[in-house]
Amino acid sequence: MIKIRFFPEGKEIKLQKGGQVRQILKKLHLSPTTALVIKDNQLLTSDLFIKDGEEIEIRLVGSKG
Amino acid sequence: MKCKRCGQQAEVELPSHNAAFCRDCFFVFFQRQVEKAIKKWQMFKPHEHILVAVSGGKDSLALWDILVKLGYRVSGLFVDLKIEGFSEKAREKVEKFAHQRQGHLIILDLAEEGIAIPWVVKYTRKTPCSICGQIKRYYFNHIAYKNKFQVLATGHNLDDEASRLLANVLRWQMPYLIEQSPILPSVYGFAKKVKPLYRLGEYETAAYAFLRGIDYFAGSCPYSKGATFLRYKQYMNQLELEFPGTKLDFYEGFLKKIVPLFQSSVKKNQDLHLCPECGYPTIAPQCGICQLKHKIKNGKE
Repeated sequence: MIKIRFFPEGKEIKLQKGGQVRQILKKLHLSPTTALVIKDNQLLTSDLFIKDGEEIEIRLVGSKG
Repeated sequence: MKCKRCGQQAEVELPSHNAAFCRDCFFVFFQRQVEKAIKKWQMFKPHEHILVAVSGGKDSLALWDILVKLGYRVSGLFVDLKIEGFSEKAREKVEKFAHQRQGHLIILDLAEEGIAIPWVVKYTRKTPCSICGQIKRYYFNHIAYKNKFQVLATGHNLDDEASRLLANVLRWQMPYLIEQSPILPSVYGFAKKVKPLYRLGEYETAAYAFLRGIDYFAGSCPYSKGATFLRYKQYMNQLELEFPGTKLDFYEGFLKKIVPLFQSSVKKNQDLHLCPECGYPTIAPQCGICQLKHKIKNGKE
């Protein structure tokens, strides 16, 4: 299981399984250039894997006006 | 994924440039894109005093940060729109940023000007986003011109420009297309305006802000729900996903191939005169902002 926290809302969700960042974004209906994926204060590229038990933060990059 | 420049683990992936960069090399990339924009359009000279319009969001704070990093003399301007639950949070971020970097910040309070956005929405029938844009442009320009700043810089990025271009092309909005440029010269009471981030997308400005530790405001304005410009951005994002580089090609292609064709159509501002009340250039007997102020005053009474 992995935990995902959304910035700035602070909303949290859990996914049953870890996986590649690209696949996780796809599950969330996001593309790699519309969201920053952050782990331990580092940005993750879409080819990296999130293991079970890890936590990531997702920041949508689009201005909302 | 490895950094294209140094081979270290990459942090920022940029399909539109067919590249990925580690943190340090991304900063080099980002800086070069801004320098390229400044040089290509001769936006400003090293000694000039730049006024950066800041909203508290990632783009404008990233712009302030990079211009200072490049050695320019910069002041910030924040227009407090007085939108409850929104403006105070944005203002807090801007004040914090300026304080941490000992930057000079000018704050303009729209309630003190008699034109707070909630009053405008209540007492006029204007669309919030369009009238808010008009009011901000008025004060950005007015403050820049009045305080003798050589240039006004805004944080408009590639996504803003490409989606705006798409909207203007789809409706053939010629007056808007003629004026869409990373630089607008200073003419008759208007300050020179520049957009140094026009080559960088929202992903890049967000990545830069995060990696530079900029604590920016990411909230949404309560009045912007369903705004059409957000839809155009979504359409551009869909195209970009399928064809990386589309946004940059679309906007740069416009600047290179279409803008030169407009040269003979550019208005010479011959119909402009100064508003008798505030001194702002206008083609009407009184400028739009002074008219709005009167409407609000009358509505309140």
